Amino acid sequence: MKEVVLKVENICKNFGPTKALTDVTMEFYGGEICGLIGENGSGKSTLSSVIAGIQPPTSGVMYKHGERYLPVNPVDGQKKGVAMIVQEAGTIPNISITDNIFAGKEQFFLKGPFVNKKAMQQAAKEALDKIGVDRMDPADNINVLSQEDKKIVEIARALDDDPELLIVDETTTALSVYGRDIIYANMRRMRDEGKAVIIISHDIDEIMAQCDSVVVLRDGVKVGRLEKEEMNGRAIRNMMVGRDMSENYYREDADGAVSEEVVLEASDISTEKVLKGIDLKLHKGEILGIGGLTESGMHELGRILYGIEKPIKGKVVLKKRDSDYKITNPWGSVKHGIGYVSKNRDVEALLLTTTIRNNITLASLKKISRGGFVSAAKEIPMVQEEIDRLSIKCNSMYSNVNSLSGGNKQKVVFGKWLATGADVLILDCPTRGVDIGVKSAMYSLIEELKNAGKSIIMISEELAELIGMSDRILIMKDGQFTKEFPRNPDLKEHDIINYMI
Amino acid sequence: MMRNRQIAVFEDNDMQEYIKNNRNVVTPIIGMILVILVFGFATGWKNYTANNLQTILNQSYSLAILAMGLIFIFAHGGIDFSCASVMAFSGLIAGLLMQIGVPVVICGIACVLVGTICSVITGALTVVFGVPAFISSICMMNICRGIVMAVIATNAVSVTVDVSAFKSWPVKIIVLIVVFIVTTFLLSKSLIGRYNKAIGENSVAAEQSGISVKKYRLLAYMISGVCVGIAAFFLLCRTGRMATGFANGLQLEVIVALMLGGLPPRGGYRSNIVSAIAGPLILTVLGNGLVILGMDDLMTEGIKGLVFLAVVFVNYRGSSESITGLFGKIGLDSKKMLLK
Repeated sequence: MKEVVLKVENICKNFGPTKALTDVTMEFYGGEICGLIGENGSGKSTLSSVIAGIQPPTSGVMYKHGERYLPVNPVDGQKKGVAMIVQEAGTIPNISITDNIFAGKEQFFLKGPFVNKKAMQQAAKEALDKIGVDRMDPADNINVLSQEDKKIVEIARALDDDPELLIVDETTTALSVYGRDIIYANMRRMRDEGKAVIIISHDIDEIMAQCDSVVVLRDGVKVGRLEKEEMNGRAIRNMMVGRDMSENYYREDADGAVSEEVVLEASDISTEKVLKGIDLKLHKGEILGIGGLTESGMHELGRILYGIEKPIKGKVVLKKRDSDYKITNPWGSVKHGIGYVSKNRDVEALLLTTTIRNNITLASLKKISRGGFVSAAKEIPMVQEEIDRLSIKCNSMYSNVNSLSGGNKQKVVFGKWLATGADVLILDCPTRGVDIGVKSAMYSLIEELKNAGKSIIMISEELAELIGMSDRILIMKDGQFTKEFPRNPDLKEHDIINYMI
Repeated sequence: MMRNRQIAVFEDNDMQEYIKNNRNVVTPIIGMILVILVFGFATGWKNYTANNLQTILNQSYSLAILAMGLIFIFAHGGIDFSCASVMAFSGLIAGLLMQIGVPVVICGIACVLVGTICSVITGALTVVFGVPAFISSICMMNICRGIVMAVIATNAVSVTVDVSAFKSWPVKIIVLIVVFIVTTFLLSKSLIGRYNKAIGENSVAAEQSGISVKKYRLLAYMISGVCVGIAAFFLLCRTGRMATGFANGLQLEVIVALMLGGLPPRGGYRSNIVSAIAGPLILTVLGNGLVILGMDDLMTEGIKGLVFLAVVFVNYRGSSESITGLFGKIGLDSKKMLLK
């Protein structure tokens, strides 16, 4: 019989009238990697934050090794042996990697009244070695690191305390294969040391590959637990959604024909860092997929097409019926009917601490204003229309956006652009961090938009969705397009991967 | 049915959320009423004699007008320490113009113009050239104060013409109400207000949503400048002469007043003009009441500080980001990350 590291009993968590968790009881065992899976809003992140001490439960108790466990804050949780790696960035800018790893723990490196930098750097190196990373120098400033390497620094920080329970909260979606492998290797190492690991994810394949058991949550209730041998994609999916889901939720047609009319044309786009002479034509009513590795330059391309960044060479032109418009900045783009969904939703696309209403109309305020004043009589129906069209799950249009689940947040971002009536949409990782329920809604929405004559550029790291949705796929590698695939739903991922790496 | 829903539906749950979002507007009003009542009781209503009431109103008048403009800069997450010195500088120009016989109304307009120009220059330093707002405004503060001191050292500047119209309460109250209505509409209904609040929430997202961030931040400085000019002119008319210490200290008092009035230090969508009315009133009634109660000046400052601290904690309790926002403004952003 495995040892129970943590037991949660009858945990409830309410946010006002919303019940995020209802009577959740479960056990986490030592020597086991347990997956926690569920749609957005199912309560899995709430549960993990309760365990890590980020918020207290409304009712219910937790036991660690049989003793009452009630962390008052994450630091307390960490002291008691529970470490958590979160999705958002949690490093301190402008200081060294070493200082980041040991922030708040400087007292262990005192030499007289001063901090012994050398000893700390040595320890930082050991902490990085321990998790199997050798590609960074702990003396470097954290700012030089990529987003992924920053995440790795966080992992080193979390694991330095030798926690008994590690929670990995949807971290892997933002990482490349390298970063994922580091996380997986450390999860397995902890398991082999007899510790408990919880991994939270939307990704069924990831859960099946990494976990020894999986617990499914739905609407704040524990639906069930499956052991390794009982796991299969279909069973988990059905438990998550609560009804039978078909395996295929992409576009069904195989028709990749689009109109000859070009709406957006980029020519010879180059940047200092990555892009080398990119040419691109987007046709009316086309879904153009752009795939590649994160560092291939495809995200920069998206930003340039929308005007957030400027290329050192080349230009982007929006072809309008009567005249051409050269894209140089976002407000011009919005004015001329282009929308952009950033891949960093919470940082770049949403005003988190204000209402859904303020978010949805943000890009359309000019459209619904007269003489510089916004018309509430037009604004409120506009918001209601998007909430209805996208079926955003919310208490009211005056709810704060950060009270919504990830999928619903993404719907708000989509709502913002639908409200503008944009004809060209540039979607950068539109389904990142979004569960299958919302994903499938997004896909049918994108298809609807295509049918309504809108042109869409979909930049994605998920090859399956590119194959499933695009009329044409461009594969990017090291700042250049290496291959173009016409629409073919039977295309296999490994046919494409070769052109990416 | 669908039609019906589209006409301004305000259901119970909307109301709930609305109240939740506007808590920072309701508490200062309650606080203001409490302070007014408490000091009324404590002084046996002696603090509301016609005479003293006039003192209270005079003191809060400049503060309120300043605050109503400054709120736009705060809304986008900025800060401005220069307003009091700019007041002195524009007051100086108006005073000089009066002395050479320019009509009073033109002097008033010039005063507003000078205030606006100075404020826009401060804004441009920050918005266009990227100097942090608190540094550029401190520079402007010193420059304006320096000019005022240099000029006054050689010629005395005083109001030599009849400005009784601008000293009379009906005119002052009407101007206050007009400024209140205009700024309220600008902040809550206009693109300028909405965009500045959005920039305060998240400037990256605002820019990506097609807002010309620089332009709208500059416009906030412009509105603030207009209010600075108005406040300067009325203060000049009231005091009757320019002194080196003209309006000095208001730059900090107005910030304290805004915080007391429930303005989130980070700005954003919770910024509300109510803060610019409730805050100055709380601050002056409190200070004035303490003096009437026989507290000496030094103690009064200390007690004001304590009340400020208490209010900030009551108002922003539970939303750590707002408190750290205050630190963030003076450049301790990393503090926030540590707390996290």
